[in-house]
This record gives sequence, structure tokens and C-alpha cells, in this order.
Amino acid sequence: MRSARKKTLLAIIGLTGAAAVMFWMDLPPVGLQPARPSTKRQPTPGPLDILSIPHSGDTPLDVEIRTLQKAVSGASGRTKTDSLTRLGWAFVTKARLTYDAGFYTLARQAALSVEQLAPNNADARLLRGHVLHSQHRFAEAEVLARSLVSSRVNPQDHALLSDALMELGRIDEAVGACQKMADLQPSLPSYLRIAHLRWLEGDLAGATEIARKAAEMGSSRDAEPAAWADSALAGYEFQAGDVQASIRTADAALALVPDYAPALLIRGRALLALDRIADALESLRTAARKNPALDYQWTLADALRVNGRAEDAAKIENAMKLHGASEDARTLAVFLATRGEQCPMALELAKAELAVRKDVFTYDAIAWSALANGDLDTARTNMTKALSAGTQDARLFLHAAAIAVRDGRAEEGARFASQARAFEHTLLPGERELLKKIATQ
Amino acid sequence: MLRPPPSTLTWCRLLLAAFLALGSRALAHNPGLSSANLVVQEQAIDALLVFNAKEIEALVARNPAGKGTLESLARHALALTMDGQPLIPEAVEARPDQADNVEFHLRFPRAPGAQLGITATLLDDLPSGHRQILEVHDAGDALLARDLLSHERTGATITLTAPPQARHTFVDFLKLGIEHILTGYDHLLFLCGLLLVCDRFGTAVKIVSCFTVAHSITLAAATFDLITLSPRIVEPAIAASIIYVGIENLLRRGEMRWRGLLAFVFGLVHGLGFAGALREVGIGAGGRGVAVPLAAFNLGVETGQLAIAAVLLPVIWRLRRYPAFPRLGVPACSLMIALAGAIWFLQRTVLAS
Repeated sequence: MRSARKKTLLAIIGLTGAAAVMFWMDLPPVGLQPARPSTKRQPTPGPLDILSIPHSGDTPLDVEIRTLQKAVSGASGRTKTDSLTRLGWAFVTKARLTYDAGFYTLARQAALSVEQLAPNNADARLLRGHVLHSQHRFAEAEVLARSLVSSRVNPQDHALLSDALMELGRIDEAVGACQKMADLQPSLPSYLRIAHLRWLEGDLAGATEIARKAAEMGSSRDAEPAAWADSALAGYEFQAGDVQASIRTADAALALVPDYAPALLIRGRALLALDRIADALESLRTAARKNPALDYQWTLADALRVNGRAEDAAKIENAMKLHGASEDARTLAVFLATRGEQCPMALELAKAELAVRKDVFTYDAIAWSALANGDLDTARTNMTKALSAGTQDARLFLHAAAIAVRDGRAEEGARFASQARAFEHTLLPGERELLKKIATQ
Repeated sequence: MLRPPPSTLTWCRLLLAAFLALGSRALAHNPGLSSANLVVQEQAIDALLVFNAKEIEALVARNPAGKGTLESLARHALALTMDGQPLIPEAVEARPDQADNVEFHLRFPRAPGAQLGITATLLDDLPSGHRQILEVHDAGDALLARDLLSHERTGATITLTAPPQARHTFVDFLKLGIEHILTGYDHLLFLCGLLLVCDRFGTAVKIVSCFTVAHSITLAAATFDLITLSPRIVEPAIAASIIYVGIENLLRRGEMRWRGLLAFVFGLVHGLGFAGALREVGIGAGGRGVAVPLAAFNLGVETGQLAIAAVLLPVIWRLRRYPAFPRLGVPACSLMIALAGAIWFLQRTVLAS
């Protein structure tokens, strides 16, 4: 009997010990059968299901979107596909006005819905191509645009092709496509494209002239396109050093569309160049609130730092670091490299961007972040590519100067620094400080 | 009445505005689209959330909290309330699917109420512009609601047209108690182990009473939130009690002196297990109207127990007339009971997924 008691005691001690070990090891929850989540699944909602969810909002465009949603649900055949395409473009417009890229997702659902109902529908493919471009899927957008261009005559197809090629760094081909667009339909969008391409090729005067023509084509009846053209013109005027003119043009844009973010950004940067920091902050704060894009946030953060509000600036910069990689990896890479923070990640982000687009600004981002990592060979090679188009941009010249100086090419460095100084007013305050340091080296 | 589609002028304006964006550098990114599918069942709400694996990887990389981060993300991916009272997920799983997605499976207990509040809590951490399609179905697959959630609107409230049908009345909870003991094989086996060596009616009454009193105490205490013990402790402990009673039957060969105490001690553990069944239907832990359901449920458990004892004891006593039964039958049955307990123990500890 004593032996039996001993064994029982040992069994109790053993079990208690096992339970204690389990508890200490924090083993995963036990598989309680009744509490396991169900594996039963509903079918995934299709594009039409997603588009049937009533859109909210009170603006005329929101009302228009809801009307189109109803039209889609009550229609069939050609009427349905037409309504769906219009709904898709309405979402694109909404994305553009609100800077909410989620509306591109909805536009894509509209394009997919049309293509399900009518495969090879050219209008739906154009819409899908536009969404692909907006989502930085430029190579896919180019393929789609080329197939559209070869199958019909439509200026928007050439516009899509031109835009995709521009991002892919094939400027000559982009110019050709843009010229075809302008030949088919001289219009505000085609003029703005030509202006941008001219600027990319270093012809700032030509860009300004054409942007002015585009701005003259705008009308207050279609206020937003006119405001966009004015903002683009203000940007070129700012580049050219006519800061007062750029503020006036930005104000004209703001008169058309109050709190228009692109105009506020240019206005804020121009005021910053004039050292009117408080006024600049007012514009930049509203711009950054309206548009969460990283270049808006960075500009505001730099302005706050100049104003001695480092804490507020740090909050914005931390948010940029937190979300920037998924929102705009390239700008984040340039920002991090400029600040000398997380340099290996900056280079990684910039290099990853090259798989998406190969334009001058991507090569610049790689060169700049490579320099931050001390990789002079990569910096030099990519800077050469960045400068190959002849783009006259202060940031490009600043980076080129820093690379040349670090590379021991003092004369070349001084030349780039001098070119950067010609556009110094377009640099952010932090970058201006950097330029001063380089110039003294 | 439907309004006519936009005029040609409007249509041109849309296209013009849309294509203006192309005059500059592309500004957008792909913010992603995820889905949340909820099935409102009689006793629970099952949720299946599907995200692109890259989005989840980015979130995990941003919060490298180490082990369990993915499950932690899953646990906090969705917040539910019923009539304003938060529901706590009782089971969570996170796993990749075969289409480069990550699936979060959550089960919430369904509390009584009609206003189901849903908040996609992960949206704040995902890129701005991310959208989540929310669908709510009932147990019969009927679509109750479909919505599109975003940063600006991370939640929705659904009015459940049919209130919870089950477990409302005294009889419902009585039935639930009976059902729980009759289908709770671990409780049944423990009871069998206790009764297997009983050769007298009085002893059987004493053991069953001790077990009943003990589990009633802990069932009430747990339901009123006086004791909170994780299922990861309670469930293995129940399995351990089965092993113990099997081994004791083998070693002590009918020694009944400590059986009452044994039944009482382990009854305390089993009571905590019964409380889990009540929680599944929203009684206790934030649920309402505890006393009547608790009494009815407990009565149901006792009724079930007595029914089992009433069937089992005559069979055991009949078998005891054969000398081989106490010598061979009882040890064989006890060994099987101990083995079953050991399997459960392993399933609920090291083999638990």
C-alpha cells in the first residue's frame, strides 16, 4: 500500500511538473475544437459586387458616381459597359481630386467588369492602362497602350503610351507618342505633356511657353483642369527664377479651385524661397493636409525646421519613414539619403524602384543613396544616366556636385554646384544648406 | 427614378480631368485591396480576413515584436461589438494561402444583441488608399451587408434582423447543459473512471455529489468572472485528471477512501471547462443575464450526469458479479481511460496548433 501511495504521489508530481513547464513555455492555445474558427468560406466578391457598394460623399462628382452606379445596376449590354467605363473614369477623377489612390482600385474594378462583359473593349483597356500607369505598373501600361495605338486612332491612347514611356526613361519615344497625341488633338493635356517633356530635356523656356498656352486654354467652367495648367505654369516660372510671377499664377489657380494642393505647394515653395516662412507654412500645411504625398510632407517638414519647430517636423518625418516605403519608395530613398539616415534601406528602395521605372529621377535616387552608402562607383554610373537627358534641376545638380566632389573631381563638382546655385531657390532649405557645404569643399 | 447618365459634356470633362494627371509624374501607388468576410452564426461570429502577403510582411517588418507577431496582427485586425459591448476573439489563426495572400481566421462568441459593430482596425496601419471589402453573411449564406471600408471610414454597424435564436430560455440552457455533458467525452470519461471502481450505491452518490458540488462552485465563479483561467491551462488539466483517475484505479485497486476528495478536487477543474461552454453563447465575460442561464445550465449538466450514472452503474454492478471483471476488466478499462487522457493531454499541449 505504501508503494502504491508513493507511485500515486510521483504521478501527481509528474503531471504538475508537466503543467508547470507548459505554462512556463507559454505554449500556443490548446486546440479547443468548438472554438476553432470556421473554415467555411464565401465566394470572393467580384468587380461588379464591389462597384455596387454605394459611394458616399456630397460633391457633384460623388453624386455623379452614385448616379452611374445606379445606371450600371439597371443596365445591360452596351449601355452597361458604357456606364461602367464612365464610372471608372469618374473614380479616376475622384482619385485625382482627393489624392486617394484607393479610387484607382475601384476604377480598375470598373475596367475589369467591362472586359468580363466585352473582352477587348478598347475603352475599358484604356481605362485599365491608365490605372496601371497610376499604380506605377508602367511596363504593363506600355504593352496595353501599344496594342491600343495599333488598333485604333485615339489621342488618349497615345497619351497613355507617352506617359508610360516617359516613366520608363525612353524620352525620345515618349516625345514621338506625345507629338501624335497633339497632332490628333491639340488640347490642354497634350500641351502640358509637351511642356513636361521639354523641361525634362532641359528646355525650360520652351516648357514655360507651352505651359502658358495650355493655361490660356483653360476655362473657369472646367475649373480643375485650368487650375492644374496654372499650377504647372507656376512651377516652370518658379524654376526660371520668376518667383513673384509663380506666386501670381499659383494664386490664379487657387482662385479657380480654393485650396488646390499643387498650387499651394508651388506657392509655399516660392514663399519659402523668399524667406517668407510664416506665409509659406500656411500654404504648405494646407497642401500637405490635402495631399499626403511624400514630397508635400517633406517640404512642410523642412519649412517647419527652418521655423524652429523641429518637434513638429520630426512627427511628419517619422510618419514619412513609417509609411513612405509603400507610398513613394523613391522619394523616401532620396529623403533618407539627404538626411543620412537608414542609408542601406534608402539604396535598397531606390534600386527596387529601377525595376518599376527607369527615368532620370530614379537614376538620381540610386546615385544619391549610393553616395550616402559610400558606393562611389554606383553613384557615378547612375548620376551619369540621370544627367543624360539634360534635365535642368537643382536637386540633380546638387547630387551631381556632391558625387563629383567626393570622387575627387573638384572642377566638375564646382561646375555642378554652380548649376545648382542657378536654381538654388527651388531647393528645400535643408538642401540649400547642403549645397553651401559642398561649395566650400 | 434613375437619373440619366452624364451628358457628353460631363463625360468629356471626366476624361479631360483624368488625363491631366498624365501630364506630370505619376503620383499614385497601389494601396491594396483586402477583404473581410463575416458569418454570423447562432453561437459565434466567424471572420475570414484576406490580405496581400506583401502588405502583411511590411506590417510585421515595421513591428518586429518577434514570436507571435502575425497572430497578434490577426487578433487585432478586426474589432467587433454587440450593442456596444466588445466581443473578444476566442480563437485566432493566421496562415498563408496559395495565392500569395495571408488569411486571418477569427472566431468571436456571439453575445445577445442586434447591433453588430465592425471596425477594420488594421486599416490605420496599411497604406492610405487601402480598401477593404466587408461582407456579412448569416448562417444560411444570405448576404446581410456589403460595404467598402477605407482610412476615412474604418467601420460599419450592421443591424442583425434576426436576434440570436438559441439559448434564450431556461429550457434552452438546460438542454445546453445536458448536451454539453453528453457530448463532452473528456468529462464523461472522467466520470466513468470514478464510477468504474464503485461497488456500492452510497459510494457512487458520494462521488457524484462531490464532483457536482465542486464543478458547480468553479462554474459559478468563472461565469461571474471571479476566476479567470486560460483554456490552455484548464483543458490540459482536465486531460491530466483523466490520466490520474485511470492510473489511480490501476494502482489502488478499489481503495475508495480518498475518492470523494479526488472527485471534488478535479471537479473544480472540470467546472472551469463547463464555463467555457457558457461563454461560447455569450453568458459571462461581458454577457448579460447570468444567474438563470447558469442555474439552468448547471441543472442540465447534473441531469446529464445522473442519466449517465443511472445507465453506467447497473452495468458496472452487473459485471462485478463476475470475478474476472475487478481483476482484469477494471484494470483494462482504467488503462484505456488513462491512455485516452494522455492523448488528450498531448493534443492540448505539445500537439496544439
